[in-house]
Amino acid sequence: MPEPLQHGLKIDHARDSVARQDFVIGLRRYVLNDLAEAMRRRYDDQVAPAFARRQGRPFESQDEIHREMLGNTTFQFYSAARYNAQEMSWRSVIPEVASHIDEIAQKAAAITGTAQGSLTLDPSLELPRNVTELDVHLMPGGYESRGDYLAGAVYDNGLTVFSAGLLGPHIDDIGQSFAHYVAERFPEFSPRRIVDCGCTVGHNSVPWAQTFPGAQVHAIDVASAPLRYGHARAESMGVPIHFHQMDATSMAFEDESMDLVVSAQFLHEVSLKDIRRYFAECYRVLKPGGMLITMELAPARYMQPYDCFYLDWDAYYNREPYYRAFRNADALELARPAGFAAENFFEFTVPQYTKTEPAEFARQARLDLSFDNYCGQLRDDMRYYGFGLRK
Amino acid sequence: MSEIPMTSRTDSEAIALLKRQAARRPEFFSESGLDQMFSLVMELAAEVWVLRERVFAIESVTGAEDGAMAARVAAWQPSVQEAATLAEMRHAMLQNLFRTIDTGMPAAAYEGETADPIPPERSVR
Repeated sequence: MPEPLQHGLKIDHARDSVARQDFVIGLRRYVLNDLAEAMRRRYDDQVAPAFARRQGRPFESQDEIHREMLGNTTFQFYSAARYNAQEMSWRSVIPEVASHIDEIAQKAAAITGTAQGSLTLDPSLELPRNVTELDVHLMPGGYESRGDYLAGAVYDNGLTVFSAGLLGPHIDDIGQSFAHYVAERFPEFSPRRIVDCGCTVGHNSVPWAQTFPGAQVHAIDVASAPLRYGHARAESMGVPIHFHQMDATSMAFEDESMDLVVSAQFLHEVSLKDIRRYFAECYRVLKPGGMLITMELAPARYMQPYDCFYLDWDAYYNREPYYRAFRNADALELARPAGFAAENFFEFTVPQYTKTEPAEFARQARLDLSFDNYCGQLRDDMRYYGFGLRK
Repeated sequence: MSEIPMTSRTDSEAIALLKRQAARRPEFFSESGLDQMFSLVMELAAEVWVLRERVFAIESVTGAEDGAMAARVAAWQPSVQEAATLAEMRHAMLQNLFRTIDTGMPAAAYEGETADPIPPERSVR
């Protein structure tokens, strides 16, 4: 069953809803593990050899593979099942969330202020079209809702189904993994001010405050509904985080005011133009010696064409219009114009913190960059990819 | 309202959100209508699972060996009110099953920036 949310905004789902969510979780795990393996076998055994015989050469790019696979029955069923499972992840929670939305608002009002975090909204902030008009990840309504908790609650509850238990009990495994990576890899680094960019409901912001309890943690996003929800969520967990409605490409923080700027699955949601602006802002707000840590999709240059084709599925079918451009880009080249030096760029992969023994996690956190075929794929036994920059 | 759409009524807010879709759905199969059929089967599979779990729960709560309970279930007839409730539940279930055919989706699809100029020929129609 979906791991119940473990914070003060959690709602009680009816038995039949839980059963439906269980089904969707089972479907997603089946698609992402079993069907994905079946599709890979079909590719290795039939599609790739047939293409090589016909063309006199192997596949040279993920795009060639994609075009070929469009006519393959296994790909068609894999894609149809995955697309429907994605839709059903949100659909399985929306009726419950909508019916409990007043209860969530009452809980939030009672909670706010208990952990000494804060919420600062900016009604004058102009939201980008990819937030207002695009249902990213097929989430109905997108990330902004009419001044209430709906979008945040749908996202939080839907993510427990979408992640199929792979992101831990607080759906914060990405934040946990990267915060503990920094703590293990850079034991001398002790950030006092941290900002998490593109934080949505702050589920990956919380681990930074927990791992570095002496730090003041800020979390920013352009959409107000997830921030409003995320503020109450963090407060209910007793974790002080300062949420701001703020554009990461134009932050209101002062120059050299941050020790650490982090983000998780954020850059591939914005255009390359905005990524360049983001890096410029990061460089501006970071103190000398400060660090930028980014959890992202694995770059295409490190992967075989088939694995790139597999990851690109989201770009074509999951309403992620910037996904491919980001994966095909060189993060360092995007960051250099901001002032970051090439010698201060580093890349790494980490295992899942909530699924790995602490001693083993610490050992792996100190290893150099290593990739496997599943790096960056949401599935069992995955590793996350990240990169960092020192100012 | 705390039930799911296929087995109970939903409020207007949930229905509106469930129907909201910013762009057209992709078609993975070359045969017309097969994508909708696939969605229908997936929804039906979810509903079957929900019912299987509920039957399992009923048997667990009452005891599967309870012959008297089984006889009462076999002899059961819905009241007028119960029949009306079941009719509403069936209608909600059918609405959900046919959600990809009767979407209520606006005609205009999102025309924002795309990441790459090579959309696959059948990815979005």
